[in-house]
Amino acid sequence: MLIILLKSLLILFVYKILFFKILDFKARWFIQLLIVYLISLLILIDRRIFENDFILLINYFLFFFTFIISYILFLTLVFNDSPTLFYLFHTKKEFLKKKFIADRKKKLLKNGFLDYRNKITKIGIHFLKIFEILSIIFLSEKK
Amino acid sequence: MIELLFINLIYFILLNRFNSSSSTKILINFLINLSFIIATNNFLNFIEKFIFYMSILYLIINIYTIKYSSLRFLILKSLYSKKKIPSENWLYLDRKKRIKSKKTFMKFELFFIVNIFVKSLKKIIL
Repeated sequence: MLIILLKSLLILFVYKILFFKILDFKARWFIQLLIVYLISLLILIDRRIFENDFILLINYFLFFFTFIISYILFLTLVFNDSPTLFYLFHTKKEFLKKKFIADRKKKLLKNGFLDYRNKITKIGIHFLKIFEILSIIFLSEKK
Repeated sequence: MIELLFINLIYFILLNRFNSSSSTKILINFLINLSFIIATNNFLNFIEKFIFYMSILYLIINIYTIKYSSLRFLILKSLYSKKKIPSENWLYLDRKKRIKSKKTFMKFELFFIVNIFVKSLKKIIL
């Protein structure tokens, strides 16, 4: 699994340099990366090893799926900029100029979490509730 | 991998019942898991399990950061509870306060390390 992961990461790396840096094609970058990762796995994994071994198939799926989701979540810091990271390494003037709130509002509107009247949509409410519940279940702060 | 995933989910659910800080919960989970992963007799298997564990941990930490730190979550929560959306200045002061807070695991040292990776990745791909 490790060798396959390293090879697929190398493919992703080359893809990112080629498409994001050189060609500047960053639209829906996470979907692009997910598709490239999936294709590379389909090429790199010898599917014959799963014959009569369903547990191995689940193991492979869990390993590669969890990894790519975490990796994409980490890349959001690279693409979207984190306010905390920005705060630490920039001045107040630069921070305010960056307009994080306005940018996130625009993204929420684009993704259907807000409507054109700036009201929260059903998807937005579900998003809020799901993460409130997940945090209560798995990791929350001291009360 | 399936066992590791289920064991971890159970660990997190149980640890989260305690009224302790997020850093303590993460640290305890990490130590329990480390001892479990180190018990693997094959080095390659150890690395694979460690990567898998770190991915699970990162996903769980993301659930926490979305609730306590995500701007999108904050905007949606303000709108849902019919409050005013925070201003850019409020955000600046909030981040300033957070970095000094001892309550959360999101400390300067952690952000310093994360920033090294983010900066180098930005240079390479953006």
